Amino acid sequence: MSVVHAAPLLRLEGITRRFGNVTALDNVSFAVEAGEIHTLLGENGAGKSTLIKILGGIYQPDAGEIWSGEKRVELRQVSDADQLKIRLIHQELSLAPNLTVAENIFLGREPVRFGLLQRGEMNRQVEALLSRLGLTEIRDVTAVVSQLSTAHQQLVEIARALSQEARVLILDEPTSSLSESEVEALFTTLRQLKAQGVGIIYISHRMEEITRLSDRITVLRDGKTVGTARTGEIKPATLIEWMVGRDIKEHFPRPPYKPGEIALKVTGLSSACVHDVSFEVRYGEVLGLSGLVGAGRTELARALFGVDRIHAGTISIDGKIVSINGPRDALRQGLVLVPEDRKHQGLITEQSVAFNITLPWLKKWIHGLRFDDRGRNEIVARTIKGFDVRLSDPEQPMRDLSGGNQQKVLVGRWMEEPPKILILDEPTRGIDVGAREDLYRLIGKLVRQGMALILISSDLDEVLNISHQVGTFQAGRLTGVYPAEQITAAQIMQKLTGEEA
Amino acid sequence: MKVVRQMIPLLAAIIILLLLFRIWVPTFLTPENMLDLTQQISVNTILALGMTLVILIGGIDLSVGAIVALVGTTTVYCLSAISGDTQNVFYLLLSILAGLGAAAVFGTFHGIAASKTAMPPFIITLASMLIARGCALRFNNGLPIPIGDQQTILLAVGNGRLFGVVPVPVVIMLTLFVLMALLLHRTRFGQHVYALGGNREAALYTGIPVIRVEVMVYLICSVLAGVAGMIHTSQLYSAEPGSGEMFELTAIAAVVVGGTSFTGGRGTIFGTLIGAVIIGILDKGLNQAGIHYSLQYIVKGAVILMAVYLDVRRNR
Amino acid sequence: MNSALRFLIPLILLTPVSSGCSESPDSDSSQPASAETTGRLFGASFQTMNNPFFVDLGAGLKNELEANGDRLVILDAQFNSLKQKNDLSDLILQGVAGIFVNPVNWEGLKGSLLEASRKKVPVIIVDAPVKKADEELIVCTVASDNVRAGELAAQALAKVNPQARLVILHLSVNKACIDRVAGFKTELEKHPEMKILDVQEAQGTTEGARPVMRDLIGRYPDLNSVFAINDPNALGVISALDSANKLDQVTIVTVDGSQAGIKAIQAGKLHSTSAQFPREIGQIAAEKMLAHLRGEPVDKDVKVRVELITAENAEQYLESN
Repeated sequence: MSVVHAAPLLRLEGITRRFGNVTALDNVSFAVEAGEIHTLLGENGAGKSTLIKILGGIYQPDAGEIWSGEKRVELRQVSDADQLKIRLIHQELSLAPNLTVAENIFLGREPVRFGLLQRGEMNRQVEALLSRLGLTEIRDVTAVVSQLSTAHQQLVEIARALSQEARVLILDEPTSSLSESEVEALFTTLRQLKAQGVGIIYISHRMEEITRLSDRITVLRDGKTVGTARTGEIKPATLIEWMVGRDIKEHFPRPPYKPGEIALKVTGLSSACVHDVSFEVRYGEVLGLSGLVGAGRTELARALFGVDRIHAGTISIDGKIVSINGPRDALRQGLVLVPEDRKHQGLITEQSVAFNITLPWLKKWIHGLRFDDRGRNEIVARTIKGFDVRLSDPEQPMRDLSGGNQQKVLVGRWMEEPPKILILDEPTRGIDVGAREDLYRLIGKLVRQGMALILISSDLDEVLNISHQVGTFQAGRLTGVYPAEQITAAQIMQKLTGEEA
Repeated sequence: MKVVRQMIPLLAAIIILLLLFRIWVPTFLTPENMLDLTQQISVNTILALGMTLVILIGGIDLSVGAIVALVGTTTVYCLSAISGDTQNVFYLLLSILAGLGAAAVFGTFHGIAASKTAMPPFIITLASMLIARGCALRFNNGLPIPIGDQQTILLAVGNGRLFGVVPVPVVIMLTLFVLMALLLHRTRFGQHVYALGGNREAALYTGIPVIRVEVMVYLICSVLAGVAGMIHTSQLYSAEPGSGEMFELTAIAAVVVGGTSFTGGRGTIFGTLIGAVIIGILDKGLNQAGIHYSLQYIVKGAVILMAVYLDVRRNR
Repeated sequence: MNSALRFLIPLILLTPVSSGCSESPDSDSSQPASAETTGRLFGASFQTMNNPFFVDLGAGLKNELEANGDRLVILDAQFNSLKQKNDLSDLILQGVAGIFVNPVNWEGLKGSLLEASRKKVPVIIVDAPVKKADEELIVCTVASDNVRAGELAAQALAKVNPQARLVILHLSVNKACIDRVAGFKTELEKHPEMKILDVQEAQGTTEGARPVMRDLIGRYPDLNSVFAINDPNALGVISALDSANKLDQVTIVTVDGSQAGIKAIQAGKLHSTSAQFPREIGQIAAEKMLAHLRGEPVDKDVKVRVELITAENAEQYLESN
């Protein structure tokens, strides 16, 4: 980074953007140099997405200037950004699931001869591209995208953005669904691009990644730039303070370990994707389940909750064998699952926050034809207060809440009648640091109250620091359970990847 | 009241249409003509009430038109077979039960097939539309079966007037409207319907009995189609096996014009009533204004497109 | 918005009263429209307008009424008896001077006929019979002599193909078609060597007849004649036979006399069609209506001529229309 350029690749000066009377960006300045990885850090709602969309030509700023090198530019539409070779990788996947990897990468500019698709040519070019980018995890370019894992789909998305020459590459939380080894492959690719002089804007919440990868970090809060710092010159704690605007002492507050009776005992459980799993969880205990994506942790949760059919094995709660044939049975037994995919399995986004909160408790406030509005409002108020959900109006649509607040609603609504056993599947995925801290704190409170908790997470730090026991999952089997304080992240990683069956 | 406020654009559309047709047709707003309008929309409104629930959970029911024919033919066939030349209330009830029972069988089948298999409701109900139509055509070689003049009660269902003023079909329609509005907006079941339509998977994880709700929704839709069929048959003084074709599409149009989202999860019973009224006013107004039948198709198509476009734009 | 509504609603509720009293209702309830003899509005409701027959019939009505200085609105019931019922009540409430109906379902018309007679609006049924019990509710029926049309078709077939092995394409919900087939069968009794192999439903349309005919060709190798109940059906039969390369082996007779039918006769594809005269039906129906409104007596059952068209006289009918 010793090379000093006369002007940065891309520079934003005093960008302001309002939506109605909400100011999403307030006089934001930011620059990315050639051959630099510059991280944008900020809580959800801090203005990162708006900034990216301005760079992508999707939104126009109300005030401020954009400079490309020495030249002032206007990004009026997507094609303007395209011409400046600004490539954007969205957080949400935008692939056509019914087409192959190669078809997706060449979508819209397929090689054609005499009006006929040159499929062979296309596949060869994509293979060359993938090996150049080091994305060798994708072995078959003719595979249909819907059959790939989410992680692999993410890699295809990245490959597509890089299939055309890039001057500035913007990645919005690219690693949220990648495994460790895939993250490594991605980082290698990014470093290669950096060496070629590409300017990279990287957006992530993962502190460990950021400090490892980026050269500079800019923190946004409430639409304003808080500061920019070189990575080596700033402590993670300071960055978090910048982000949330307050001092956070303990990143991962592990609840105290006071195990009680056995709450849930699973013996020899098998379903379509889970094989012969046995374990137990006690009241006041957090069992963390770690594993690679697709190892069968989610499927275990689904089997316990009665969504997937159980082929063999028994589930006992409080020492009694129970039969669970559907979520309703599980709920009756005091077992709750908060699923991993908020948007598709958790939320009813069109409906109000209050609707979502009260959905499990309709019996408490609808009696025949009588709506007990007060009872309803009390349930809503309790949840919002108890789980510190931040919103303007409980009747606002669920989709308007940030990911963190949505997750708080999904967990918090069950506390109206606290379950005995709570399973959280990837509860902090796609959630900003502030909300994450809140969730950890609330988990701690529930465990102190004596709830038994199963935490499924791909974030190793999270699993290690929140749980009391850590189970490792591999190919549908639980390969071991270890006390969290006696095992390190490296050891777990080794167990998960070392002995591939 | 919030519901009413959302409906203001549609209510305004009704007023504009009424005034517009009043200009062309001086007698358009006479009480008699307006009462006739409510009578004319009754069959479609009742079908649309049931269709609203189905569309709210993200489904569709193409079979309602055929169910209308099947219920009519079953009832009248049974009635003429067991009752003979005299009117007997018990036999009449039995025959009506047979007709509604046939509808209930179809509705239950739709619900179970839609919730327990991966078959799309469009295909399920397309198939049963054919089956129900075929069943209806089995009666009397596909010819209309007349209702005997002695069956005064059955004939009153479609042609009678309460206190000599309000047509019986309108009374039935309004009663069902109130019942359905209560069911959807004032019961647990109603909340379940919205949850199911908003996100089926999420509803399942929340412990909502998704299969039971879905079966109920299709069952209600079919039984309402049965009631509509009863009125239809009575109005025609005969059961017509070939009748009811395309009724499903008019019902869907009323639901969609009334602001129910075709992907489910959003919509109201009140909106559907408004939608049915708008379509009814158009039908009557265009007829009485002497608009050529070819132009009537074009105007109706354009109005449906416009209503749905405005609704979609308002909710983006 | 709210205040606007509050203002508009009473306005709408008031308007009808003022307009309703000043205009028609009392005048035509006491005396059936004798007040005016011209400038009146008439209504017609046909089971479908997707058939040249009804388009011509409508034109016949319209020409005659307009010649008298009156107007006509034609509505299309789209084979939907509920729509026809609603269309008719729209016309009746609008206070039309008279109504012409071609019913979708002649059983289902009763409610509308009762309503019309309550409002003293005269009704003439065109191209369909009506139930004996309902006869006093209408002025008259004006229709082709459909029985005669069927007889003519059978006679024509007997002349060219006395050993006929034939099938009938039927539209059994339609009374006119039932009459045609009845006439055809009565005539057939005089020719015992002709045999009916099958009677099939074909919806009375070209697209309905095609697949049915394809089936029949396969099923009956000795099939050599077809009686189709109308021209559109016959055209479907021709198309099916043509694609099976069997057109020259089969004699087709039908009823209608449409231009398309006559052209098929000239092309040698169709043997004969018993021509109806829809314009004439329309014209006569209009004349009867006007006569009734003048207070003259009218025959209950008016039959309009049918004539056999074959290759010999086809030219003259093509020109005449």
